[in-house]
Amino acid sequence: MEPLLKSTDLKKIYFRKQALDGLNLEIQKGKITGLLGPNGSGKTTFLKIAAGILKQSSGEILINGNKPGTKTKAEVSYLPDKDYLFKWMRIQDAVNFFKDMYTDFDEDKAQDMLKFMNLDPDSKVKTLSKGMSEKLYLSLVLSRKAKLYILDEPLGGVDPTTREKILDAILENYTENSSVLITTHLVSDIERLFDDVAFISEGKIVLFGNAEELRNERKMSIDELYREVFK
Amino acid sequence: MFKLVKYDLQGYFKDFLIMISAIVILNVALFTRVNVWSSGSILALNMAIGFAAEIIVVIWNVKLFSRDIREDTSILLFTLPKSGKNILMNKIVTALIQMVIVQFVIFIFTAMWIQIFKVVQGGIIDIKIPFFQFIKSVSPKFALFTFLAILVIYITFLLTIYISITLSKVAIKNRKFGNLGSFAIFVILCITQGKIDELFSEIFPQTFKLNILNLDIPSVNPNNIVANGIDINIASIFVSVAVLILLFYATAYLLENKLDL
Amino acid sequence: MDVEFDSNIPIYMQIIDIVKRKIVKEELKPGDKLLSVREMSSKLKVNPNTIQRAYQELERNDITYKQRGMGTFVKEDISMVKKLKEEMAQNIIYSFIMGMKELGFSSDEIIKIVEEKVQEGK
Repeated sequence: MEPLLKSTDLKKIYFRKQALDGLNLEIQKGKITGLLGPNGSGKTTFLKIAAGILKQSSGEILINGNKPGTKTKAEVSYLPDKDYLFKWMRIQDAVNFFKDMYTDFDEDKAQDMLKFMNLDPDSKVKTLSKGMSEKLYLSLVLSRKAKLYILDEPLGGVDPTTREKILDAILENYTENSSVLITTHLVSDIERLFDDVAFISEGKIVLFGNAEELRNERKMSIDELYREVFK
Repeated sequence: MFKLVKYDLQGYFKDFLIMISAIVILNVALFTRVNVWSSGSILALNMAIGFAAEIIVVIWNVKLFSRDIREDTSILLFTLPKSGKNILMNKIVTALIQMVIVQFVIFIFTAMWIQIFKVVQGGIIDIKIPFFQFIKSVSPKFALFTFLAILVIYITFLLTIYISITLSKVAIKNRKFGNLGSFAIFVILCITQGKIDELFSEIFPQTFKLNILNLDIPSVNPNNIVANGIDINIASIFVSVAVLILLFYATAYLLENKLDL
Repeated sequence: MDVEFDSNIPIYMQIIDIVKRKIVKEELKPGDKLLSVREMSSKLKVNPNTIQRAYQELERNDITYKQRGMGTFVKEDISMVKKLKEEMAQNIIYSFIMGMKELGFSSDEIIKIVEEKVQEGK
């Protein structure tokens, strides 16, 4: 079966640093994949290339058979780890924006998620706390019926209750026809969600496998395995 | 197609209100000075207000683009499934709408003042004919040409700025030199455009005459002001339009293919 | 139910265990419907494919069966439940005896202690 995302020998140099050094990765349809690695390992660089906002130096990456561009952007829903909404917006403006710009946006689902996350549509985006912003962005991103969801550190800097809601939302959103790629360095909270895990270090994938099989083989949790790999 | 325009304008809504209120309030303040200050100074102040407003709108027009290239909101814009051409087109349309609205407000007040002074005093401008008759006496061809010329010139100006900003983001990795880089590129491009225009005008010196005045109106004294019309270099026109199109496609290409956020 | 999973062991195995336990304790009776894969996934905060794998194992071992369009049900087989109970008991007893032997208790001592403790527990 053709993988949904296929990266072959992907390289990226910027600021004179080799951010990606021949990254090979395949993500199958219907799988939740974790991309695990420390800061600076190239996680965000890879995600940005997949999202189409960064160009690789060499190598190939295909999403649903297409090179990153207008076509893939319509099929990929990207959650960056930055505040990226227009500063003047209220939450409802953001929802309207997504509705206007993306044909696959489900407004009802977005409204439901906002309620679930206890977010008030009238509040201004710039007054939201880190946790509330994260919940908002996730609601917007997951309300699109995309083929590939790319979530960059969705659990970063949020309290445990918010974390639970975020994990819930990701699971609720799962379908067999779409895939989710999640990066995180908070492995223990989220490892139960992963089908596959890929360990990235210095711009390369150093270990890839099915989470359950790895647990069986190595007799340890993915979190412990992470510590092992990156000690 | 032009959905982004809606959102960009919405973002500037507050700024618009402030700007328009300021123009209104300042002009109303001037109104209280009618018989205290000379008509010349009032008109001059009115024009100063208009000029200041225009500068601010130009800054808005530039910020409209630079903000979405330099800040994190660029991620929101460039993950949209929209082509570089589409995004650029939206920005230009928004800029033009901003400019037109503000110009319109300025125009209303300036026209108002000119009418007032035509009535009150003999007019401090050298033209002795009443304002609206002046408008009617201009040939429609000239009016149209001027309008299109201004449009082309301004859009080219904006595009030159936009491409300078884009090029500096694409080529200059050091954030500190980003602004300096854009400015340098802008200057180089302006000089280049000037040189190209000069070159083509020399190679193709053919011109055509454009009458400024509408000669059908009897009240117009053909010896007044510029009686004979002006010469316009044909090649110049083609070059200007070609440069505009070139800048547009080049900027769109860079936005879609070379931008690293 | 916020279950604490031991992430060292494959999660699907632990889920199988949870289901077996419920069946033995009669929280799930023969013929009862199990939560759907989605519901279970949501409840336990576990990947749906993992749940799916667990369910498949349970079917393979004849503990549950799937009815098309309706879901997964506990097999109406009392002997199966009995067998499960015995199996699980076996595991506990085996671990217990091994543990005690490791500590140095003899077989007689083990039996005596068990008798005492069970009586106390009454």
